[in-house]
Amino acid sequence: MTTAPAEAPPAAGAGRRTAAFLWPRLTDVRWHLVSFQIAYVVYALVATSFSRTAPQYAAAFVSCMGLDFLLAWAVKGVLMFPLSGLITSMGTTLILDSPLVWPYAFVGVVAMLSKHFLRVRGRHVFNPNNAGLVIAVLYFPGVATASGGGWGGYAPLAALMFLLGASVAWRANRLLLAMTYWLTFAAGVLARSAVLEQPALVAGGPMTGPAFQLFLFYMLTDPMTTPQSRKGQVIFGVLLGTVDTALRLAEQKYAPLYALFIMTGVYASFAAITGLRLSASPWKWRRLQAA
Amino acid sequence: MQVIGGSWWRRGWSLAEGMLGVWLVIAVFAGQRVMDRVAPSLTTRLIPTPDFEILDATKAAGLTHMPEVYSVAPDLRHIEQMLNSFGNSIAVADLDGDGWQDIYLTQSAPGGRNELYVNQRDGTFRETAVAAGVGEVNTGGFRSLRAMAADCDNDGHKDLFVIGAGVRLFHNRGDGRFDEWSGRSSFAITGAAHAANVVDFDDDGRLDLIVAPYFARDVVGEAPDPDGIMPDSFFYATNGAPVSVFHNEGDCRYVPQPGNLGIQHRGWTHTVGVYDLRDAGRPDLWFSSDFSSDKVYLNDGRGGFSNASDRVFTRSFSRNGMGFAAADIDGDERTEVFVPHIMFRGQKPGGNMLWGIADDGSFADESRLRGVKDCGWGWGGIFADLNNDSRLDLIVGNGFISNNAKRNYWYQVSVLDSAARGVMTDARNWPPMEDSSMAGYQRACIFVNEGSRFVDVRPATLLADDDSDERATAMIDFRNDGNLGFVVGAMHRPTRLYEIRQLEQRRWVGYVLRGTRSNRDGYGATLVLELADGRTLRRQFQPLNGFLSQHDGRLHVGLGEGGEVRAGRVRWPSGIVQELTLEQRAPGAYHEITETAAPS
Repeated sequence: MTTAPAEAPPAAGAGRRTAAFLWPRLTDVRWHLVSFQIAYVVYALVATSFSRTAPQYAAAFVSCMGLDFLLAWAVKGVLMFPLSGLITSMGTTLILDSPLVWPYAFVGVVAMLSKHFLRVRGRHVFNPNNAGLVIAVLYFPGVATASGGGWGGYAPLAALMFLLGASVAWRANRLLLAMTYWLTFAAGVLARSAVLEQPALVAGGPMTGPAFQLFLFYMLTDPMTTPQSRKGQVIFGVLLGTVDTALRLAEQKYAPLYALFIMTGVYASFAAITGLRLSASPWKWRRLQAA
Repeated sequence: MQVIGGSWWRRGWSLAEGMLGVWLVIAVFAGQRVMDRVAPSLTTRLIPTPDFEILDATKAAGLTHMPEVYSVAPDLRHIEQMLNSFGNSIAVADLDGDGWQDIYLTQSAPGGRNELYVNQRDGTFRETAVAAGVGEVNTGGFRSLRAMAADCDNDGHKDLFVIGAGVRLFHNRGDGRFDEWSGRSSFAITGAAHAANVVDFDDDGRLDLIVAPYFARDVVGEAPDPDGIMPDSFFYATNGAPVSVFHNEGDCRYVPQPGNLGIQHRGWTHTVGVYDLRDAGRPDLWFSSDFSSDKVYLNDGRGGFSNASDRVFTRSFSRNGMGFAAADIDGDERTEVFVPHIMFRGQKPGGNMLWGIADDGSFADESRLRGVKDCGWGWGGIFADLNNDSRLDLIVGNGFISNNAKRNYWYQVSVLDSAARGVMTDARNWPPMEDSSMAGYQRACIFVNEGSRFVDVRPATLLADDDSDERATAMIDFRNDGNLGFVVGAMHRPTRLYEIRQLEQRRWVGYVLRGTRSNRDGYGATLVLELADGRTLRRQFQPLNGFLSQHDGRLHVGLGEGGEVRAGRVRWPSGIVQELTLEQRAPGAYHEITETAAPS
């Protein structure tokens, strides 16, 4: 889930460090996101279907928030509340499925390292959560998976997450992107249904589950790694849905995660090579000056 | 970094830098491919040579059992391989009372004939099921999914329970021939069950019966409604059938127990384990559950059970439990529980669970620490001392559906599992399996206990290249020589009998238990042996624990080289503690122990 659109706290400047502490303003869209995430995490704690343990939560929170805080200080020279780390940590606990503790820390570490070091034109290339999850499921298939089953397949929950998620996407100015992907995915469902002679209900089954809503509205809509313009969002959404459909035809279990990883990588390169104008960071900070 | 102007190398560098995103994507996916090829060679270890040989005794012993393949209802036939794939049940017991272990093998196919192999005391068996009255069992819509031998009237002769979409009970006349006594009882259950066990829950000395269904309705017969026949989640199903408990009123007359003793567990149960987990002198219950987490019900000491799952599973969780084996495997006076699980790289992480019990009563998974985590899609798991070195080893059968290895059904399951609940529940929504495989072509694990860890020695045995889809596995010392062998049932393969030849001279001792105040079979009794070298061995007698299997009806204990029993005692289910006599401590023989002493 969610991801951490993090980013762009004002830097202190080359070789300088500031004593000021940066705190996200209440109008920052990430708080909106966090409020829903907390609700989902509480549900995950209460619903035994998630089978998460306290050390797993702790591993994700400590690795994500701790590293985000430290790397912001080390790389940018700023002290800031690691709100993006918090978002990534909750996303990790909701999507990653492992019986062990260390994969939760591993995803957090990879996510934060990718956010702070894999950058083009000052922007991180990948959605941090997406990068951590992709590498975990690819390189540690015996202990890490991303499973939608933990949500129990409750359709009313999925519907609620759709509505809440749409509001987040709208505030992040990525609703068009989400909807374009949704429509392309739906078209892919019909295509796969025809090719595989499967009921559309089966091919499109994931769309009815909560995990799909998380991907659609919380991971996909990261403003830092997706286009800002309406045209760009439509193109990105269509291409993402197409890659996702192709991967599903190849029976790739992690099709949406892989598709987003590929598309954000390609988009970052495309933007860099063509000099595409990137939007300003939407995050809003408040500077708390030390006495 | 728009690539305009500048020298050619600057433009080239800018282009390469700008392509970072693409390079990274390529590197991550290509790197994974490389790792896939390199990793196996990095992790290859030397396989230790076991100090025993495994020999195939099937042909010489005269076993000719072949599980019959059968069709399910027409609306379910497109996923038939998944529904008719639990194999046959194996019950090892001395059914004719001659002191030698016999083998009862079921057929799950309607109309199929169950087989009873009577031990001829020379390493061979003779099939006598029809003459014994337990061959033509799969009639009148009934089919056998689980067989259990237990003395339900304490007359000293083991009777035979056959479970399926109902229960059939065959009473032993005393000479190995049986009469059906099902009509004496009210054996109504919901759905079809291959998980069942017997336990004397009210300490009246009679074995009661617990049946835990898998399917909420049988998959063969009168075209069951395909909607609702499948689980509503692959890992968190809630739509199983309820457990049924039957109280033994005496003379093998069973009546349903109102309220099922407080057991609320609903379905998809593969194995019901009975074991005194806390060494409290009372049996607890473990439901190894497919499509959900295992359920542990602790005996409340008042004839009932309470669900303790949320209390004990706080450190780690189980999913898709298959079999059950419990023992004190390290001599620390605490129980360890092994539950085979599903493990398939890239699809289903996790693997087997080996639960240790902590001071606070919670269970912690020690499977990785002890080296038994990964054994593919496990089914049956058994603790048994294969090399008589006094340490309990572990056999795990595995593999689900071996078909076209190039076609994998896992993806379809993951798609269904990510959809809303109603989608997965309806069998018609499941894509046809056709010739797909699912966790097929796996090789069983033979874990030898080396003290703190287990090591899989299967590659150094006869079973090195055996990739059949094993199901039930039952231990048997069919030569009465103290060397355990095992019977293995597998899909689409003949049932096989393996014997073990020891390469080291080690001692053993065995016990036949005869309860008087406790149940006649002595099920649930605990044996404690104090060895001359200071070690203490504990063995709880629960031969009916195991996926579709019942093990040798005697307690077998390896003593190691020169092992000598200094003292020993049996704690019977009645609470009576009985010291072993000097004769009963002598190695190299099976001794009979009859419950005699007064309660201590």
